[in-house]
Amino acid sequence: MPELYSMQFLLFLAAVLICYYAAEKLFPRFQWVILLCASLFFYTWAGLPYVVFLLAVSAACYRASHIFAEPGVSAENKKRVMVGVLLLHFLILGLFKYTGLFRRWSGWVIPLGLSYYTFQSVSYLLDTYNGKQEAAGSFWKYLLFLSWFPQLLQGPINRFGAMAPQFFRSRKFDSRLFRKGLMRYGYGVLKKYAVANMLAATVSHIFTQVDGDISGCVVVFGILVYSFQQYTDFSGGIDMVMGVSELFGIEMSENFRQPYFAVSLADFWRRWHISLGAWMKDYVFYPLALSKPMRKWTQHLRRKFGMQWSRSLPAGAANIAVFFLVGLWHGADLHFLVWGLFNGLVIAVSDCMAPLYRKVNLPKKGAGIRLFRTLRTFIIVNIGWYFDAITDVRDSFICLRNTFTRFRASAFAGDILIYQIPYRRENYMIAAVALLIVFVVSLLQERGVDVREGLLKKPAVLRLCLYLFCALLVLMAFPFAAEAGGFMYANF
Amino acid sequence: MRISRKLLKVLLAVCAVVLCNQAMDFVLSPNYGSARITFTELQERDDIDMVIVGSSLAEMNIDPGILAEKLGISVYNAGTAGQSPESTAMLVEYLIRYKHPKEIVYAVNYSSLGNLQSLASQIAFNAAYKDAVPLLDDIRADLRFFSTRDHFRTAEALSCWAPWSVNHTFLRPTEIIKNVIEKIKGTAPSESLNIHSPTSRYYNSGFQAYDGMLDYNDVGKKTSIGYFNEDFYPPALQSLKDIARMCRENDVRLYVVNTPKPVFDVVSYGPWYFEKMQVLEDLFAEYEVPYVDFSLAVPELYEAKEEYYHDYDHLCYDGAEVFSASLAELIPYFRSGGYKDLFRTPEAYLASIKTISSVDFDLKEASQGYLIQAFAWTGSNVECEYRYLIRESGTEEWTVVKDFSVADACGIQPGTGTWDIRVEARVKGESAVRYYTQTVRNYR
Amino acid sequence: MEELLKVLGEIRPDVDFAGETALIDDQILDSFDMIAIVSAFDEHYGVTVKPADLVPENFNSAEAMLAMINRLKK
Repeated sequence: MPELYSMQFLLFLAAVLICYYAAEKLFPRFQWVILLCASLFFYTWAGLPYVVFLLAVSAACYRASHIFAEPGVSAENKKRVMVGVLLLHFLILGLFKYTGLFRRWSGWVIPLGLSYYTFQSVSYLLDTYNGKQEAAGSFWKYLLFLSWFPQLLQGPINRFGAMAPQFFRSRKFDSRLFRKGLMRYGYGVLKKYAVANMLAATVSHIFTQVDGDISGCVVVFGILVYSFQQYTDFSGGIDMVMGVSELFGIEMSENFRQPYFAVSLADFWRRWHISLGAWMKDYVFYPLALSKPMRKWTQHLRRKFGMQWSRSLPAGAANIAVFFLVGLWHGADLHFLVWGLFNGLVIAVSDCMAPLYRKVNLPKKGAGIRLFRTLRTFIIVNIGWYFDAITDVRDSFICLRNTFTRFRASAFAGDILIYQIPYRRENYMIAAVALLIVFVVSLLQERGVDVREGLLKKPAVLRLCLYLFCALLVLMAFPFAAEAGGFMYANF
Repeated sequence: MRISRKLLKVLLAVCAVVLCNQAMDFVLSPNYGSARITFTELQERDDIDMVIVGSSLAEMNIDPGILAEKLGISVYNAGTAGQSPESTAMLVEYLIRYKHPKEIVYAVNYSSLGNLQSLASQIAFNAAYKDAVPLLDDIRADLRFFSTRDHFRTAEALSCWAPWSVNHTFLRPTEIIKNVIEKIKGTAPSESLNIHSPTSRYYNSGFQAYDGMLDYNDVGKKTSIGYFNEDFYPPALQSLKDIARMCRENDVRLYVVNTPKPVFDVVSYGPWYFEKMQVLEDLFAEYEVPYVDFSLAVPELYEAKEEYYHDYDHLCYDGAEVFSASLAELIPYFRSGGYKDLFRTPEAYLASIKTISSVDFDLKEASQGYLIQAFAWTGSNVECEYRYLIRESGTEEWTVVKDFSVADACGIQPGTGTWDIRVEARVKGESAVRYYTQTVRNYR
Repeated sequence: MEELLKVLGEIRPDVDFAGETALIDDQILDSFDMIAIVSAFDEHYGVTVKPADLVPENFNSAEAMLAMINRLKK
């Protein structure tokens, strides 16, 4: 997987940017072709053979979308085409992602971006089938939507309706937008290299050495570190790709919205990996919850048990199914499924309890209640992480149990040494300072402040100092990352 | 007008960034950095007859003063910590172009030829090199840097223009302030080393060495096995060939030496070791460059003693003195030929070892308890006996699980808890013991 | 309209359906609410709202919902 902060990628990016904005002068109507060429070139970095799957999925989906628009085709045939192409998508995804056998037999790895572009393609397929979306003008235009290189590595899962108008108009170089894109990219670099990389070894060392006697305080420490590492790694990567896309003037869908400020688990899932949640909502949750059998069940429940149960049970069941799929989407491992089910259950149960809370008449607004709900949600999310950070479900339960029965706070300093984390004081210092910056930015964004616009208004000297400080954090962090091999202070 | 103002702003910003980078370099890059010492001193010297090159194997094992005295020539030790083969090739090219030595001694080992090389060392070397060469060569050096190994693809490599970020003094205020003061006063880098370094001292002409002997009872896997590669890293081998070729084309006599190592470091590799070293010998033979492994030296040339070693790769000062004297004796044989008579076959070497160098053991989880598999690193004709002991962590008394016997495996069933496990080994019939200890947590 | 407000009020008594115009955009109604509303429309008005109809334009305000219901009735 290409690193987005590397000489290789930066040279590639510079070359594409120059070509793209030069194309605006030379052939503005076909400026987007530069983006397509760049994306396909980027994709072949992952190995030529894998392009085949991308092309196959694109061709099938594009053709299908035009069949759906043809008036002469019968509804049954359209349905057959839709089901067939849908199966093709999931066959390829299933083959690579969920069948270790196939991977071992073929020697192939999961094609770059498969999980993301499969879902993007399915969204287009279903939207054109349902008439919500007009079919793409040409195969090449559709291919650009699927292969757009910033979205290939970690998402987000974009929608054709949102991306098409942006891809296919001609665009002049705008220095303000360009600088904002750079700022976002830099912010992502800060999160990834000055926080996530500093904390990764702590998590991996603790949770691969779990035994029956692990101290609860060590577990909680590890989980908390994980919650910050996971957020900065994922959202940092997203910020980097969003920033890169913005350099071309193309805005992709947001994937994170200060998730740890959520007031409920349901709210958390509207702030974390937003594009996946939205996809699940539109293409799994609603179709499932509003399917004929579900409607029948809803009516039956309302007659027998009243309004509340008829609302909560069907939606709750559909929600649990959705989160099972979310877990499965991450990987065919038991711990992902347990994690998914945990989230689904908690949300479903919370919904059942909602009218009870309303009866108790708790204050709705106010900083105090907001803080309480945020902390409560943070704790619940972290309990979920027990099944994400720890890949063996038995170990997860051991850790959960020990959190309560063997906390041993006073023994922390001694116990943490057992895990031989390749740790230096500097790891945590750098991460803490960078996290402080992230926290301030998140707080401002939660209040609705456009941080980048605000920064652009500040004097240039102040901005330069801020950028240099962030660069300092990132640069100083590299030797302390676990992969650096511990050659620190060898007086080279 | 607006465009040129914007351009001016951008230029000013770029200048500010460059100045900040220089300032950070001044403050944080250690005055006593290994590469900095070497390139600063090389620039001040002309008329060098022989240069030592390589990693700390060269820098800390070979005393140029002794070679100079015994051979009557001027010698400089240009070894630097973590010097990769690619860096050595750059160094040799520099030496040939600017210093014209007649002979080069290259110290090399397994650890030089794996695919793991310290990036910080390469960046520091590159920076010191760029300070010593004209501006155009700076650009060439950077292009070379990015086409080396995986630097083109990794994030860390982009730090190459900020060497202070990967190679800096200890981040304590006193250390940093002293560093700045020394640079302002113009203190020689070698002097700075003796002020700052907690473990090594600078002696002369680019040579610095450790003090203190290694603890043979605490070796385990602290050997160069960590660098083990089934095949040497191909770009590294290519650099070796480039070095040999450059020397041949410029009439420089090259001698390649694998510096001495404690017995356990050689033996713990198993049969791989001598096979791999043969690869090196063959590679250099194509260029008529002699390659020798000092572990195989006959006792008349070099008598290895356990107290010479600071760790598995490096001799301590006393050991370096003895080794350098031996090397000085060997050089005339390199020049005239006939050096091969001074080295034994691997079989003869292994047969000559009469003591146990160190002990290691693996702990495998068994259905009940653990299985200990012990390894005593020693010669081919030595019969060993093993004793197995256990005690609860935090207590003093050891309990013998199995007394001395030739059995190199033993099962133990400790209860729940944290245990120290020790394996002792001795030559059969003798009393001197080597041991190794590990701690295991049993909470299944 | 009054009937509609009563139906909606049974599902979310805490929301001011008469006044709000960004029920979806401001995330006042969540996906569970939507399911309840759709099944309520099914029972009350006999209209089948499809997933494809679940767009902000149709649900941002009570007026929009009423317009959609009338469309589906035909």
